[in-house]
Amino acid sequence: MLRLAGAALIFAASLAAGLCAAGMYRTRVIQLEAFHSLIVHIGRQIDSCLVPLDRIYAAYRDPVLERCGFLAELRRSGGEAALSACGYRLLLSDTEIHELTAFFMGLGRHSAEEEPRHCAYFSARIGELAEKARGELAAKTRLCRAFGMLLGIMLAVILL
Amino acid sequence: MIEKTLLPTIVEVCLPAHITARIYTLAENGRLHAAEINEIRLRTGRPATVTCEGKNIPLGESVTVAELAECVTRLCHGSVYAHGDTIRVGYIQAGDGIRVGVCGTLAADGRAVREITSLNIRVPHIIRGVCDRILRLCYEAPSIKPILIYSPPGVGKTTLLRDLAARLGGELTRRVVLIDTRGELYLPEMFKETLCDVLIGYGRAAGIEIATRTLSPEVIICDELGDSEEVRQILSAASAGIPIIATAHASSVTELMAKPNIRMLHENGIFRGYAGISRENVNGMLSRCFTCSYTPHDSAFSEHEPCCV
Repeated sequence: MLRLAGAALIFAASLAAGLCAAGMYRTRVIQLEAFHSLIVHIGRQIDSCLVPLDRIYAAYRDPVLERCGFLAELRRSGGEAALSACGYRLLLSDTEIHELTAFFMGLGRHSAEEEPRHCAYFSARIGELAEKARGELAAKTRLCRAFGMLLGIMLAVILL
Repeated sequence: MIEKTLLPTIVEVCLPAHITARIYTLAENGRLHAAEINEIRLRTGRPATVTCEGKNIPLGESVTVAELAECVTRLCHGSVYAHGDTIRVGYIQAGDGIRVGVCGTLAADGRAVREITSLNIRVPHIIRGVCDRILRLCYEAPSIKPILIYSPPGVGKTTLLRDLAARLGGELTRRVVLIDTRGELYLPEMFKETLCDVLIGYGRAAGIEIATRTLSPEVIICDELGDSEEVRQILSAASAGIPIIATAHASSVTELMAKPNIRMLHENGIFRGYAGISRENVNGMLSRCFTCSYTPHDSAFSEHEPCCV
């Protein structure tokens, strides 16, 4: 009886881990899309009205970036610093962090003609990464769930 | 009476750390007074200097291209693109009355500066009370007399004009319109209790026109008069009964009157007098106290030496 309860517990834990991994992957996609929206917004603000960055940051609202503390840090100390300060709360891959760092490193250093091109380039790059991640989301979610379930079954069988 | 300021925070933040450290080392060694610095000049691969009490003091350090670019970005508050218009005509408005002269290579189409090679960071000073003598000349309650203040560059016209605007708009509660074309006259901390309306970034002619038509000022104050459009607007403001206090570059009244536009204003009786300023030389050191000489409009300026007041 005790062994059966243990096996059920192990199965539930493995299933939960699989669901959690799927959730984290989904959060990563949402964060990446939020960064893409931010870059598009910055590019539009610069292109249309040459709005200074501090004013763009102050007026920007996004629940995803607020929740992970990125926007507050962005307003306080700029993009690069915000990325490193919030790195542990961002579920992005190294490639994605690298692209975002390159974007914020170059942001605000160009002329009025060059700056929208800088934003457009990184908007396209992050957009591609977000689209790819979104495309893989359903498959990866299924994979994580299935892996969690199978692992749980396997461990339960071994225990029994 | 004289209130000195240290190096403004924004300047300290923007300068490369080794330049700031060097300035403070020299200040500690008594080779310069940090509170007396007028300009800090950074040049790529060449010596950085500070201008202090009229002397150029080499810092023995230079800056790299990357350091200068970083400095420009910081002076533009991280948004270089938003300062493109002023960079193209040779300066950055860094805020808090700090104007930075920009030197570099203009792109072939003339639309942008491709490579910035040196910066001249002008450090503003607050010297309360420095306008006392000029104030006695131009203010006779309840009227304000229009005067033109002249001096060679770097003597302190802007410092004096800033104090004058703050006094007229502050303790004397007059409606002052301050036209700050290059963002170097207006210091928020100095004007927070005043009745001054400030037009920042407007050309002088446009500023005078706006002030005359819409702001109903009791006096208009602006820096460095020059072109014929400005003269036209001043004549228009004068016909509306609004006095103007302005400055111009010249070392004497004679030199001042050699400028056709100033001459035209004089012939139209726009200014009631001309005040020249210079720094006092006390024990071989240029001090921050100003001397002022005054030539009333009705005196034959070419035949009389200005009298000191």
